[in-house]
Amino acid sequence: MPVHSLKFFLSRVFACALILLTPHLVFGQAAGPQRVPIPPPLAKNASKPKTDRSSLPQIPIFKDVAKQLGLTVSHIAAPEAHYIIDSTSGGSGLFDCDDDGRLDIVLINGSTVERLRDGGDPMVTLYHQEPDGTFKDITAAAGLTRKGWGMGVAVADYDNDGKLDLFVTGYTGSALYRNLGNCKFEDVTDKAGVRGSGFMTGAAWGDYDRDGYVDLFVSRYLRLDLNHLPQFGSNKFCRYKGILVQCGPWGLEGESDFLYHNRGDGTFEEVSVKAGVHNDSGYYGLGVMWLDYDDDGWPDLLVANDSVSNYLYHNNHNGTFTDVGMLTGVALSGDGMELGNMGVDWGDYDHSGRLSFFVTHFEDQPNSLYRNMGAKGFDDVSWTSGVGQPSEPYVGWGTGFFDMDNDTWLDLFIANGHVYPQIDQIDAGPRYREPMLLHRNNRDGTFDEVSKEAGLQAMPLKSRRGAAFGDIFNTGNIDIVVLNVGEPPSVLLNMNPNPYHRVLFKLIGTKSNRAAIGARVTISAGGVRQFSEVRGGSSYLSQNDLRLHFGLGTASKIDFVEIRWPSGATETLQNIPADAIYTIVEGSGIRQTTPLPPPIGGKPAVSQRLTKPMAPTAK
Amino acid sequence: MNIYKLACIAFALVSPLLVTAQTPTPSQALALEQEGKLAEAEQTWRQIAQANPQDAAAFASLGLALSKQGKYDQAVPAYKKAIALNPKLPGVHLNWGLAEFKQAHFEAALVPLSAALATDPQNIQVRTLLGLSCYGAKRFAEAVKYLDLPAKSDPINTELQGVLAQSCLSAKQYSCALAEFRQILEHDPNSAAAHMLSGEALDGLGRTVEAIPEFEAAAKAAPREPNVHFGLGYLYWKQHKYDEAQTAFEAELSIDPAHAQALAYLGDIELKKNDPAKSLPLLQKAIQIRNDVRIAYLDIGAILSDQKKYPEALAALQRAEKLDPAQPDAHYRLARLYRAMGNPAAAQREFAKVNDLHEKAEDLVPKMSAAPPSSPQ
Repeated sequence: MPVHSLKFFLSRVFACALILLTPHLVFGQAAGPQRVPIPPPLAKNASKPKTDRSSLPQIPIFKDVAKQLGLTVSHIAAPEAHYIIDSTSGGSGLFDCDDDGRLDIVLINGSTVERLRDGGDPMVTLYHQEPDGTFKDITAAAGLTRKGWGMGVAVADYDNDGKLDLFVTGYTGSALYRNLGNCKFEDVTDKAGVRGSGFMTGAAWGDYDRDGYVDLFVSRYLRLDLNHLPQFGSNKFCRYKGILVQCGPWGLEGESDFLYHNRGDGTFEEVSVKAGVHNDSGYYGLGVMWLDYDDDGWPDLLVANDSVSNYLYHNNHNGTFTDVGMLTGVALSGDGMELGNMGVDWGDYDHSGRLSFFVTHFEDQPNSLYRNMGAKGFDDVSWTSGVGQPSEPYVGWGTGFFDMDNDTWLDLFIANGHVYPQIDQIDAGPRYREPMLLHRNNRDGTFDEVSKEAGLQAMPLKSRRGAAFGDIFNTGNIDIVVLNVGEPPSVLLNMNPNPYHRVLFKLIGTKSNRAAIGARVTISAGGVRQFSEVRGGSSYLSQNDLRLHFGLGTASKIDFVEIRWPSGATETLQNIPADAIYTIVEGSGIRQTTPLPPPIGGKPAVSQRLTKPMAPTAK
Repeated sequence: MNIYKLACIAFALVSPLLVTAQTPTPSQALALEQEGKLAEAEQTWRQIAQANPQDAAAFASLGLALSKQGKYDQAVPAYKKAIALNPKLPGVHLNWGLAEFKQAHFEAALVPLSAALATDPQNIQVRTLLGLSCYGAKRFAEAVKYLDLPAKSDPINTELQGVLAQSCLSAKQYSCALAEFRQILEHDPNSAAAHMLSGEALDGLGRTVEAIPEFEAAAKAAPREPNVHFGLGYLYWKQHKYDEAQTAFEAELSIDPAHAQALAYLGDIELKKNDPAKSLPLLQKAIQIRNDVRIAYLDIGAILSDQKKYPEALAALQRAEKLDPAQPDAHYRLARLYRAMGNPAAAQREFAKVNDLHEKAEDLVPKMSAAPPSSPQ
């Protein structure tokens, strides 16, 4: 729906009075302005009674513990952000680089134009989680030394050697780091053929042809020549609300995207044209994600494009894709408007058995929630669900569905931050540093914004970008790692007080790709059915914990677990106790069980590590 | 200087050359005018002009006598004849321009007033009249050019500053508009019109958050001013502050129950609150009052689509599309409706239109800079 300037409605009111006014205007015979009688004040609408949420769980408090944990390296960014490239970095990630059962943290470092001209900066910082729960910067020791201008991260085991590898997107060149074990990496970018070119932003791993090797999609933003950068404030595309700002993306040429097919021998072939995901239109690609939106067992691909239509590429099961974004309804807003799309996630927030889509947007463009209606496509329920309005003043980036209180219902988090530091020159309105948003799932298709109750509003304002979700300390609660532009990161520790059960699944593929990227796990516990998928890249240029987390509410056991592996094989497990991290190997069932601490106020359902594997029922 | 005096002086300068023995004299005609016998003076000038058909001043004086009686339509040919006979006759262009202006022939006034200004570039009155004519002719950028100096010369003339500010606004020179409105408000802090127009200017600059207090001030100063509550409501609506917008729209309706736009936006808010049952009657009432409220047709289309009343939904969306084919929203909803109706070919056509419109917009509109484009509803 077009939003007009107010002038459109009101200017005609004043135009017709000219003739009457003329003597006053020309010959100075004006009488004073006429006054109208003032009516009694209008009765103010009685405020609507707030919906009773007392039956919902207590809202967890989040605490930023980054500094205490030792995550002190600052992201690098030019404070004035004179160029659009100053505003897009970067992502954050959670993965276990040495398979010690503790999540490690990777953060994009960023850079500046001047620093890049001098060779740039190491693209990432890798923090290893020590046994005492603190983090140690092991970037150099890990061999993550390639310099450039990092943008995003995505994790998978591309060579199926059992060790998680790291892909880092960047301006003018990306990096693929092969994990040698013990968090030591080898830079195989050039050997693998995935260096790429241009302004690469989003990355996501997915085995689109289900050959057992994960492939890699990389989105690109726009053409930017370091030697001919569009000058700050130099034309109409470099102004915003009357002030001079960085130029773009409008007025700058977009770039095509890359799809790298994994040959299975450590090298990749760029097949975007052949596969139909080349982005001939040159849309400004940012967040990307593989997911199976239609539950046909084949990974589809979502590409969020800034200021234009999103792509939803349906997998044709033959190595090619068809863009169904427009047809299904996720390309544009419900009004058919193009939006500034940034970060993405998919989740079954309404327990419908279908993946719905959430995407963050630019200022004045409320974030969108598209409810998956099955064959009918997607309905834009941003307003009716309550996630639109709170987000309207902010520029949204990293995001994710996650069950913050383990009540089985997915909640939503959004990291915000403006792109223009100059926006602070305007007296009122948005600021460069913005608050975060946290939407609690009300279990009726709506969300309440509860960042204040969760302690997020009390945190310092920052311009935030990537957000990665995972159970950092194996507590059974999902924490969040947020990248702050030009500052050290935030680690938002989830102090969930609710005594609800939960479970995590770590999947290991055998016939499927080893990290089980694309596997779908469906569980039923306490009469509630949930499902989730393993993803190699989502949110805004970020990587979530590969382990799948489910809140179980009051259910202390899971009636059944169904794993649909990327290979197509399906396994079922029954009567699984809650409150554990289960490692499930394709075809072999549960191979390892790590108990979680008891839910607060509850009793541990798993008291010791299982020694006898629990065999699955295979289909 | 009063233009009539100017014309008389001009006439006095040339009249000795025009007098003849067989006809009434210009002195007689002037005497009649001074006595207020304008009809007789007109007749006398007609006789003089008839007797001296090459006498430019006689025609100019005839025009003036006609103008004084409000017979501007007859005065204009007399002025034109005078100019044809002597293009340099002082004051006639101004009088001609004024006669056109008084008839609201703003475009026609531009030629004689431009000529008058060329003759006397320092004449503030001519400049003002020309600026006002430009404004009336909707040549807003030119109006700004001509009105700037007069407004500065007469800083307490808030009406003139108001027209200049409105011109700035219409020419999308928002900073200029804002400066003028703020000057007006210095003299009259309670000017509801100035607050409203300041709000418009701020909104035009994309500073909707700052526009809201201006409209609130306007509503406080003149609570029954037409459109003040609607304007406030619309700004809240743009900000997605629907509770506040609803209150404002209801306030507008308490003054004007037939305010179709307020009804339509109220209906839209109800729809956004997921209450189509409340929304639909408001929207239908809006289109009964005015059949060009596009948002109402769009929302009616959406509601009826959801209710699977496809033919009615189709009619509503087609009406919305017709009201502004350049907006993608109606095409998009039509496409989805056609898809639901099992007509993929028609859906594809509408999707293609959506794509085309966005591609055109990408070529033309700096979406991330300044204000959103204003386009007809």
